[in-house]
Amino acid sequence: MNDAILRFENTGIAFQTKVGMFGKSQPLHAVKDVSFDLQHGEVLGIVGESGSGKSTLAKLAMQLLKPSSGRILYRGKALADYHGEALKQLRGELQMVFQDPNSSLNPRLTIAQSLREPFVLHQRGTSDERCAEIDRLLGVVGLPTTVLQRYPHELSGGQKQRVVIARALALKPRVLIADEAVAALDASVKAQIVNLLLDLREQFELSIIFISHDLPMIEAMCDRVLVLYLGRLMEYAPRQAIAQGGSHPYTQALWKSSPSIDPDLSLDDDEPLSGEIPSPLNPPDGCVFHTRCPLAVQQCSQQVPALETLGAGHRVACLLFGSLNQSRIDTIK
Amino acid sequence: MTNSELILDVRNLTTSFQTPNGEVIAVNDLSFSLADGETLAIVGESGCGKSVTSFSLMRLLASQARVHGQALLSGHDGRQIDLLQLSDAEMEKVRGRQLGMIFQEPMTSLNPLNRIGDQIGEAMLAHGLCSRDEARQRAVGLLEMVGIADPRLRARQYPHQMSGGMRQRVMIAIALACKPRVLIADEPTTALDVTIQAQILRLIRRLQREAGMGVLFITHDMGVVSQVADRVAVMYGGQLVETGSTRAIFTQARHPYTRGLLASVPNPKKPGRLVGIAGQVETIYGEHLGCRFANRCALAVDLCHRTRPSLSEFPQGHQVRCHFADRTDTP
Repeated sequence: MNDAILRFENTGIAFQTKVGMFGKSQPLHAVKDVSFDLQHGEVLGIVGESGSGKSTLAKLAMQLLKPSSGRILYRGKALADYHGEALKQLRGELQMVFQDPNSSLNPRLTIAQSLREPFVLHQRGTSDERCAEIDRLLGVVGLPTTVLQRYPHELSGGQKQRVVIARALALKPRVLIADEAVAALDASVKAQIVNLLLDLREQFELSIIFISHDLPMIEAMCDRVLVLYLGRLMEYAPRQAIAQGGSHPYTQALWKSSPSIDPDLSLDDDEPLSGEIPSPLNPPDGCVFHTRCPLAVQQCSQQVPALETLGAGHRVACLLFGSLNQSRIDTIK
Repeated sequence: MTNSELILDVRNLTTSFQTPNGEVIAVNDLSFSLADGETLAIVGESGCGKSVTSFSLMRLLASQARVHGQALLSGHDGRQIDLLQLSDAEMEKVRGRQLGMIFQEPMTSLNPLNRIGDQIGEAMLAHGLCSRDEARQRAVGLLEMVGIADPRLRARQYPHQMSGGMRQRVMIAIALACKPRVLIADEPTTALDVTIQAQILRLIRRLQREAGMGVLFITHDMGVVSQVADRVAVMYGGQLVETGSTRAIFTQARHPYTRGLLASVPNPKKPGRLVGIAGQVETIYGEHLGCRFANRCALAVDLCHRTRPSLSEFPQGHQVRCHFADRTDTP
């Protein structure tokens, strides 16, 4: 595990919120006690429903938010310890692509102007060097140079997302965080952009954090997968384990809910997860998933499950793998 | 295709818009039918005309839209009416009563200032089906039917007090309040989480079986199509490019676009890199001579750019709009 480029150690963030006009201020734990690392050159998937803390993790890594507990290390050094020139360097090395390319591109700037921004802000290169670099970036993301003089509204959604990716690559980052970067795109374009990200990984030895609510897509492109629920880590597993359905009841429920293009499977085969994700202001005691878990027993509402190691790089936060042992699962099933 | 009675028969539907750059034909000569109790999925990507199709049938398009063709609906009384020929006043009697619709955005489809119960009762009152008190009673019953806990309390609440999944359940209750013959579901689960989507899809399926209505399910998601549909109509550039039973479309797709769409979606049975379709949809003004898909198609030859293919027929109502539809050698 020495090869980790980015490491989260027991990271948590709590927002102070007030309920009602005279309500008492109480903490909302958007992310609680999450640990994982991103290896050099790997694609790490983060999956979960809305409100599971996926985007908060991305913002923590980008230093758009500061953790209220634990720490985040980039190449062995805590993000909070980067200052001055080193911090500026760091910002170039960690880049992010957001879901909506429309709100990521300034509608009043041409594509050329948008792509020039990173070089201007970081004072890199001469004017000629910048132009040459922009041409190269367009080639990398597969856009013709004719788009340079256009404005964002003249491009399609897929083209705009390519521009955003080109801009994120301008400062030669080592880590690219794609937060639902393909969610707003049509299926055929989605596949193009996913393939582009995988090519970039090869070409530039990028490490990628790919955040999505789409478990089949995560499984198709990621080396390892982090499953979040209500800001807590449920399962952290290699692709193979996820492909086989995962071990945590929540991972399994996500698979059952994900529509598959297999016409042999029908709606009637599986009972979907009932209920909705609880309010993070008032999370359930014990395992936060126990209110919706089909396998929950009484102990689940009392004891917070620790992360149990199931195999190499495979950890699960579920009592069924901890204090309630494997034989117990079989009897329940 | 089916023994049961056809409740919706759409023939040569063509919807066009005048724009400063010329005429855009959003739906081009589209024909399909829907039987009682059947689910037909209309699938395609942005700009393929699937939503314009549903808006044309509901007659919700702005007045500059030109709509031609026929859309024959068998009403509750057994009479056939052509939706496209009705006057606005007649259409108001059909909308909500014979044809229900669920939209994509449950957030923007509900009135934030009215109580949930009143919004559900509104259609029943507008169609004169019952009294105000009875409408209130029925609204509570409908909320219960769509699986909302504590329906009496919920009926008195406002949309902001509900989650996205619950609002979509309310939209379904509104659409079904007058027991329509046909339900048009236009991307009803796109804005929802997968776990909530799974619940809503099952809910629509259960209610359809109970009420025996036809469902026109409009979506871009092939996974959803494979789970809900009996038959599928694939649209591209305003045209029907392939239609057939769900099994035929997913196992013996003949149109290169349908195949491309299927290869763009992760398939547990075929792991590995996704294929996708190169290029993108182009906006075309006026009539287009060749095949709309030709500029993105790997099989395209000169003929495809010059001549529009017609629909070729295959067994069991499978139709394909491609010059090379009978070439089964490609995977």
